[in-house]
Amino acid sequence: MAVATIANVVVRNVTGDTLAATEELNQFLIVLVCFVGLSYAAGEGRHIRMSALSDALPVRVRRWLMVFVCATTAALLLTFAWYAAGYALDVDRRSPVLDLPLGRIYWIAPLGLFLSAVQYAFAAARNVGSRQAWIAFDRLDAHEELAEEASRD
Amino acid sequence: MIGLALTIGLVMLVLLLLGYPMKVPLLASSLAAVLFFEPFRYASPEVLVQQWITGIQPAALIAVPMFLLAAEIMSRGQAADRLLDVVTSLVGHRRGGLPITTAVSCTLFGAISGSTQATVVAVGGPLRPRLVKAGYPDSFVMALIVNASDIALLIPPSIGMIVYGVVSGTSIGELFLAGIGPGLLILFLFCVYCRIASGRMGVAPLPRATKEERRRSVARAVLPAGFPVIVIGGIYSGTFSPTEAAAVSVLYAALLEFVVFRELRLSQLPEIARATGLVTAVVFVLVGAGQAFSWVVSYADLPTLLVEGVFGLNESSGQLRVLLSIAMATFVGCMFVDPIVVILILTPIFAPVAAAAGVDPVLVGTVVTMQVAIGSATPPFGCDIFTAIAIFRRPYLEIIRGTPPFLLILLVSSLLVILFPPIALALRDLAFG
Repeated sequence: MAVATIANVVVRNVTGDTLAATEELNQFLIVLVCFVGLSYAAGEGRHIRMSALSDALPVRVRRWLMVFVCATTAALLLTFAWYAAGYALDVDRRSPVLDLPLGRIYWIAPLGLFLSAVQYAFAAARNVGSRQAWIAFDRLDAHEELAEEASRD
Repeated sequence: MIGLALTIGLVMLVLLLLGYPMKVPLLASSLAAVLFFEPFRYASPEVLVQQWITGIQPAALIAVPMFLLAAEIMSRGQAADRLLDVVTSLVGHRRGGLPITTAVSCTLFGAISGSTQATVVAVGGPLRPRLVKAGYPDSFVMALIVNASDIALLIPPSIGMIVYGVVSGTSIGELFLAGIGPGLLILFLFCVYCRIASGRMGVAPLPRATKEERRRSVARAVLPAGFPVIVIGGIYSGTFSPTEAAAVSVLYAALLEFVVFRELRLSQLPEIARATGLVTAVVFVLVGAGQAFSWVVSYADLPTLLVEGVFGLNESSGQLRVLLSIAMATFVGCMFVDPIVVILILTPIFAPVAAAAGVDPVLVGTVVTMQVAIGSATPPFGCDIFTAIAIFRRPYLEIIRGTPPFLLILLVSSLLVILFPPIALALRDLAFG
């Protein structure tokens, strides 16, 4: 997904084709990468977060904190997905050069937000039924990985 | 209005401390403001989504994923290693050789990549074991790596400068050139400190590389070193716009690693693109959410509150005072949140005051970039520290223990740039003046 889009962005610019059409296409691709990547990053547990405080907590407390954090994040993203859907429905302009319906393209926003909400919900559920703290459905929190490695050594 | 400001501030702080992903505090406080506060009675939360989508669309931002892609290719292939080797063979035998090598490598890598975090990973990963083996204390080594990575954000290409340029409407090419001077200044001061500190620690330098070894490592590094020549030279001579420079660097990196060195195979391309896509998404989600937040802040007229209330600035404030306030605000901001977010939020707030005081927007951009770089290596929540925790796998306190001397140097260099703007602007004036 993101793979193809990035490659596209590159190829188009490398060929020196700076027509308005490619610029417009680039803009759509960025929107695509952003929202698709949002849910992908959520699934990988790859978001920037400040872990200083939560790292200091014992695993049990941290796990419940994670449940709370993931669940509320999911709820927030779901809310935004709802508004984004409203926005996408509202837009009935067409893009100036390629004459594509913008509203249609912007549907990627609610979709990406919704999928990330689902990812966070999974992560929350995972923490409920586990002894360890999970940052995403199949990713342990960094400190857990450390502990795991230490126990393996 | 004070209530609104407090609510936003409080929501941000609490959510940050609880360890929410960075985008959540931004989105949650924007949403709360739009739903519950008076100035937004006629605004719908859908505007936030609209701001998000418009925020990530400026054409110049396209340069960001392309520079990320180029850096990803170079650091997976041989280019980064070759650069490390040449620096080691040239300065490794001097007193403080290895720490100096680290600082210089961070600078060189900054010319490939535009982010401090990527530099911590690419330079810190291979060099930290070498330094520790040579006998340097780990806390010194880690602080050096984290702080020297700041330089990478100042040396073009720089993601921070691209974002600043887009938000403030300043020429990204001019910003790139203005970053070089301050970057080299910090490098110089770091080298001096490393030399003194190494002498005091009594660590023996590496054996001197033979002439033959040096010649070979220089020859091996010629092609990777062409990278900054293309980016800086192309922009300097006006051949490329920064976006085109980004595209050309991807092409150059790909040619080098896939065709010349044959280190990477085409089958690795999907993995590289996947990694780049992921980092791109993380950056752009922050840009989008930051844009929505920034809209809320300016719609509610909070900038006036901050600029006049907190810093006591007005139209007649002197340039120096304005610059110092901006520097302070961005530095403190970055101790808590991501650099991109800080630039997105603070630039629109301070740009009018800076313009009124007659400060060159390029200088403002350089100072801002410098401060966000420094702030992101500074406790309590500088994001480079967390990158270092993740890749070095050492506890927080150990990583920040060696920070104070480096921080002092960084603050001195910021002050120098603010007091003597030509450090930043001379090169720009030479090219564009």
